Amino acid sequence: MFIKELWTYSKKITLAFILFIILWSYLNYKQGAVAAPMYVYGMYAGKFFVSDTQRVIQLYANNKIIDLTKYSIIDRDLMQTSLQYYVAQKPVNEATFLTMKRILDHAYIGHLMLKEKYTNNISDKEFTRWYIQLVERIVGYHVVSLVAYEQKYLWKKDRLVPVSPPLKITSLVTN
Amino acid sequence: MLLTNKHIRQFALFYCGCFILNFSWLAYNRITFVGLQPVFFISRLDFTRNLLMLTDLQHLLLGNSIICWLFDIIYVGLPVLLTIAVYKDVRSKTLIAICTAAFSLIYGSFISAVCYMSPELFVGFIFIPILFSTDSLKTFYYYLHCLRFLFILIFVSAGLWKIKQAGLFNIEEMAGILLYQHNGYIISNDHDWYTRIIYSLIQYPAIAYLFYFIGTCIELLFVAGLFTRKFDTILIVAFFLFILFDLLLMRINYFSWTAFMGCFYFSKFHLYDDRNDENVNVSA
Repeated sequence: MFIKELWTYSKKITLAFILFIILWSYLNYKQGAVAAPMYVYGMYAGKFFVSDTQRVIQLYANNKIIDLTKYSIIDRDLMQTSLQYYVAQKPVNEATFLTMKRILDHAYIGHLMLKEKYTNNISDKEFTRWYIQLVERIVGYHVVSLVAYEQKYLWKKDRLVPVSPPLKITSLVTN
Repeated sequence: MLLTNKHIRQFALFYCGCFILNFSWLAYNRITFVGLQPVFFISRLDFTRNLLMLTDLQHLLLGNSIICWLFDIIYVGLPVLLTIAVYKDVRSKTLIAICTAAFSLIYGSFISAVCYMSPELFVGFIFIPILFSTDSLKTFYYYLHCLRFLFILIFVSAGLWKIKQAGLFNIEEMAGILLYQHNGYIISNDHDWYTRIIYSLIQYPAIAYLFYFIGTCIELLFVAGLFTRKFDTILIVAFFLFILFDLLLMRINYFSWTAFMGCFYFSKFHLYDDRNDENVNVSA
């Protein structure tokens, strides 16, 4: 067996290796936080259904919808997730900070975590400026106005159909 | 076949090639710090990243193009330097290897905080440099098998999660995933060829599920690698099929994990053991 061979060769390497596996298994068992490079590799393990409600972001540049099918996988992911992450960053960063601080407090190093280090100092206007530049680079034309909506969709018969009115994402502050 | 220093150099070249290809792809798509010029970050429940954030590097990187350039240059420079060090067999290769692994961890942690890139994609480039930190052929051999073992556990754990969270027992699973993964894309254009393929798979969930089932079987197939190295070539082929279909159906690029396949390719080489005057044959 490999571990036995490894033990014969070096007890230190074996112990380090076993410790790594135990820690990684523990993180898998706890299913909460990870510790890079020990990640939890779920890879779409949870249940998904066709009847699940889909929340979709649609972008309108210069009053015209951006057709995502025209762009590369990376570009459309960049356009969509950058906005999604920006909208989510404030509550996510806050919650992560509180959870991590609570855990690190147990190790007596929680006081080193200063909130300003875990918070973004960016206004919606600054984000919008950056985001418009990103969208302009991808779509290849000058963007005068950029509006984003989030809408709920459901699979009906043979396609996705909207089931809620589009909600404007107010983090984008263009006219 | 005996493991020699030539194989270490070959593996280093393979690793460097995988790294350069992956970085070129990232740079071409502007998902590097220079390309993104990030202005905000998003946190994650990751102890390592949160400890790294104590240094406040995240704020230094935001809107600071010099630091962004520096990060990208160091990230791409270290693996190249490491490969040269392995080829020239210089003494400092141990230090370079440790620095490469550590910096890949830092880079992966921070770049995944400023864009949608998953930090898991950097795992190969964090672990593999450690292989080259060794001066002895024997240590390289055991490190190689440790990494091979680790990758098997990673891949098999992904399969086990699908059993534990019952995704594997849901016939609608893949159709639901495709809908979730591509919802923004498919509502953009009904007539697009890829939209029509996704629509077809959603309408026939059993066919879509077949891909999910085969994918999970491939993940679980790696468990064989814990007991024997006989099937490593099959595992390499299965891995490439897995990442190819992941790219085609899910549009997720796992090619950065290709570097791990070196562990499976070079696992066939044995170590000459002076103690017993015979080849050490590690069972897995």
